[in-house]
Amino acid sequence: MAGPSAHDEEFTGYVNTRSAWLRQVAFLLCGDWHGADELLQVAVTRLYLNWSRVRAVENPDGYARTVLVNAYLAERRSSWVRRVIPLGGQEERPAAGGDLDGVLDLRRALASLPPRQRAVLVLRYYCDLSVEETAVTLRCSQGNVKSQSARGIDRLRRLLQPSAEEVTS
Amino acid sequence: MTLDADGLAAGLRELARSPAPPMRLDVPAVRAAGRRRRRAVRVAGGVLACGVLFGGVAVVNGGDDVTVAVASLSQGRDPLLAHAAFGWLPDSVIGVSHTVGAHGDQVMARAGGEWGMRLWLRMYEADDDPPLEDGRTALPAPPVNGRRAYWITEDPRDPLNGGDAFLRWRVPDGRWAELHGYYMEEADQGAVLLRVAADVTIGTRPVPLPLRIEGLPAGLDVTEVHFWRPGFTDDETWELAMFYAGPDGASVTIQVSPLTMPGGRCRAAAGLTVCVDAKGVDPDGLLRRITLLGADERRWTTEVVIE
Repeated sequence: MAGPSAHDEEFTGYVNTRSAWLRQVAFLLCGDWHGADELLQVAVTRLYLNWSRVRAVENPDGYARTVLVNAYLAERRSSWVRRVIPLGGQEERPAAGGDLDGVLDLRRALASLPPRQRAVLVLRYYCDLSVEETAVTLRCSQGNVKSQSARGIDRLRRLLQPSAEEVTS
Repeated sequence: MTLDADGLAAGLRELARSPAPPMRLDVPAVRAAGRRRRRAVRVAGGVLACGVLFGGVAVVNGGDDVTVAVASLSQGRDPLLAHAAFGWLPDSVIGVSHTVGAHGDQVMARAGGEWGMRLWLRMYEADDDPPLEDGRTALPAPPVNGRRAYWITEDPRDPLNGGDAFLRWRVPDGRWAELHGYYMEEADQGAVLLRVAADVTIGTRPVPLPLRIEGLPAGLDVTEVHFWRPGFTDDETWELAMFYAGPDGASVTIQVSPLTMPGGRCRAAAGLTVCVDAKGVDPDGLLRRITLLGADERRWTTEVVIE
């Protein structure tokens, strides 16, 4: 039997080095690690199918992130997934040493956001993408990214700090 | 947790570091599944090619797609022009938004609620075949008003693309229109999208707006209009924002809504509030030239800017 092709070796090498990061992004999108692993499997399969294209792009991480986010949005649009896969998932504890209650609250609040808003916030504030980069990733206008960001943050503020007086801008 | 941008970024970083179970990603299984999918796509491609022989047309892959404006700005009496408009829409739709500016142009109908249906209308340049992005397939759909139509999908086995459905159809002048729908609860999404598409009208028309401005300061050009229906706050109200720029850095933003808005110079009348933010222009003088036409859209006008 022939050994793995250079194509497969490259792909495997990339996934081995970047899967932990992609999994974290998937976790922030899904809200639970089991869902994140399912999403990662879908996204990495798509990367494999398009590996020749991934090799050709200047920013393979950006490509992989786009594939992951699109896979997440496509799944969340499916009524089947909305029925079968819980949005919140199990309550894993956040890392010790931080604001445990605050992080759990943030996780619950994020789970209540519509998928596009959640994706915009993850891309803007976790992946540190610009408005323009986020718009390209989501194939929408920059205005749409701005409005989704504003709505998402506003919703999180209301969920996390119901008293308007406590909100900081 | 303090939720400004930095606070949110810090919270997300901390959340991403949550203790996790062992990763279940199986790379050899991914490669095997990928190879099976490749074979399946080849088979599907063969089936589609056969479809051509029986009168259907399946366009597989194409070049870069080019969108043409579905709405645009005008320096005339109505600053907001639509080049395509919805007709029939499902009862769940509560408003149609128009936004135009440097970031692009959008016409979107939506149902209520965060998960309410979204229907986006777009236009593409005239061509023999529909625009098609890499990795997508055009599957023949029932004709729209007697003209060719296609479902655009990432999965040739699923015309509605997992609920993220794209319908592209040719319009009389040879251009292509697109209806993009998602969050749809309708039992037959395809039938709903086809009915909406059949009632879309193509052609330029001014969008009625809820104000009149008598004598806009000279030299100001409209640069963006955002008319969100519904707005960002709830499903009942709406928000209009018009952005103007002029010589020597002059700028004006005019916002109108049934809501009370923070900041700027504001005035309330006819159940609406108008606020003006201005640089290089007297905001109070401009406010006095604005007439609000009320919340009843039958009284809105396309004669917005009067000399």
